Amino acid sequence: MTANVLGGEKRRSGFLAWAALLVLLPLSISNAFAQLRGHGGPVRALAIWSDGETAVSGSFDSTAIRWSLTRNAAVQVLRFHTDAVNAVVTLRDGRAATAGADGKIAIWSLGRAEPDSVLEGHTAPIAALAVSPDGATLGSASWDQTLRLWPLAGGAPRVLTGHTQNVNGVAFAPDGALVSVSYDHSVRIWPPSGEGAPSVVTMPSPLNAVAVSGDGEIAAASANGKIYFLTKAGATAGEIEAGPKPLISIAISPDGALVAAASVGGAVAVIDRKTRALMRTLVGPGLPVWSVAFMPDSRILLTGGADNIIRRWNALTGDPIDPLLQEAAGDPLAAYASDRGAEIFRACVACHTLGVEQSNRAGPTLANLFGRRIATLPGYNFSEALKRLDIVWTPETVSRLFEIGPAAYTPGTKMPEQRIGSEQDRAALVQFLERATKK
Amino acid sequence: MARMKFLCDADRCIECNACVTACKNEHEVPWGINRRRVVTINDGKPGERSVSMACMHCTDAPCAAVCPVNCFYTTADGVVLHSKDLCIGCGYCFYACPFGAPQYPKVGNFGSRGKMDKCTFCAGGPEADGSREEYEKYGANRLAEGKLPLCAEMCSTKSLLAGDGEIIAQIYKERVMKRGYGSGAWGWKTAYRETIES
Repeated sequence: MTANVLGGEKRRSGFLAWAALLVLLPLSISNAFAQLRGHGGPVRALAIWSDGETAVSGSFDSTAIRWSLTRNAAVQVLRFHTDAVNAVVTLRDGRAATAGADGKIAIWSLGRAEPDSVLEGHTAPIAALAVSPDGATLGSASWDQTLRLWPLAGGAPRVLTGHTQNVNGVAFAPDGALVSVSYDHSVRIWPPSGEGAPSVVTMPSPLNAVAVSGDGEIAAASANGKIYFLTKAGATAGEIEAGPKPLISIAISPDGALVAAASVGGAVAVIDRKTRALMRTLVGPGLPVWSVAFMPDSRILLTGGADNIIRRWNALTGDPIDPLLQEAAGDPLAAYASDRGAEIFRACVACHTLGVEQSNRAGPTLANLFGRRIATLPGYNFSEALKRLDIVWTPETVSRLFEIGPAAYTPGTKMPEQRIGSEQDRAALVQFLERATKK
Repeated sequence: MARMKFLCDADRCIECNACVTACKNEHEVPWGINRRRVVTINDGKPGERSVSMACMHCTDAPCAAVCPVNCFYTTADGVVLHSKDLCIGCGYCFYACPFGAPQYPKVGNFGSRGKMDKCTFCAGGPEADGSREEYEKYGANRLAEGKLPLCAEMCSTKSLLAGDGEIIAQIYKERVMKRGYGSGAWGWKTAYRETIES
């Protein structure tokens, strides 16, 4: 529940700048394709500054990236969170805030390698952020079933309780009222003053995201594929089925005319807010689209998804702006069919790559793993706890890691707890890694 | 082989929560989470309706589409199960489920992710049927014993039905014809992409 100022760690700052440079070098090569590539995991969150020239994205790879939309290039990799970055938002003073599955919120000044401040208090992953219309308050929604209102000028947050499941979405209405949506099916509209009970409206399905238009209308995206519209007082104001798949992100264009809602099936529905009519459906590579954001002109839509790429679309025509839109994701373990070790490794593929030509994801690449000392791979931001350990990766140490689990063998790791009870399975995994990670 | 399904007749649910309790006890579901819950819409207002919700074991399950480690699989009975050995606790399946089925157990210190937990249709998991390891990870495997899910067996008004999809759909049709009204088999179309014509 404290706001920590992290200004003076120059050594760490220097390391991060160097690490960021390493990541940015390969990013600049991809500029020719105009798409925004660089994340090593699904792009979970997007926000665009009001000048339309810069965007920030958050990813499962535990980083946020600041992008130049005029140069189609990554400008800065923001490394702080120890778990997936689930939410990003731009602040009125030009800064940005990121929030993650580590339960922390980081406030960033552009160009700085360290956050200006860190807001702590949530006890479970943060799923969404929003900024109040006056720019003075940051709202956060968490899987600890609470919302928090953080005064950006400093001070203790106000904690809002009442949801009975994960809170997935938060937005501010123009009058300062806070709107939240939850896995418990409810939309809650909290009075602008923060005092008094919220209005509660229960929907037929869990709610994943919410947006509020400039005139105060609420649009809630549901896991049943529908968008539910409510007036600012909470009265139902229509619904539309955006598609058959669960919706996971939503945005209203700055001019209020369009609603974009993305689904786990990869389709992005563009809806005329006035008529509640489905105008078109943007079809990408068929992988989940986790984030949508309109440019200030309300014509261009940015989407981020499980292909790790940020794509641009003309929201009015439905045409993709960038080339190379259709790409098959492919199974990275397809070449190892019927290999028991590869089957066990499937739990690792979201975070680790195997080949030297493949980049780091949420975890470091495992290329040339054996014989390497722990936490020494260049270009990956290892925690201090891992750097202090005296482990060299061998078949025996990898096997031991999964015998007693990462939390016990490598204390301080951010790796999810995974244990493999069967000695045969551990041996199969090690044999697979020996084959797949060789030079 | 039968295609197993759940059917919640929302016109019969009286919000007694017997299904929730039966499930919790049968599988020794950890503190803080429930695999099944009863949701009431328009509580205290005209049109109030309660439904018993858990994993519906969807056709073309959307949870499987978002899982980054492909931990979901469908049995020959059409039951959607997952491997807790593969699950990394990312929580993406939470967003994909129209029924709020995945649950997130709180384990250890902050940051140590729990494995997702959900209704198994009383069908256990990938481990050997009836094994201790299977019970500890997933709970009882009643299907392997020739029994149906306990939540439906305990339902006091038989609002919640579980079993061969064709048979429970037929039961629902007969009910609607006899009583003369039916607000629909709740969640059936979302889960199975079909409606029950009465």
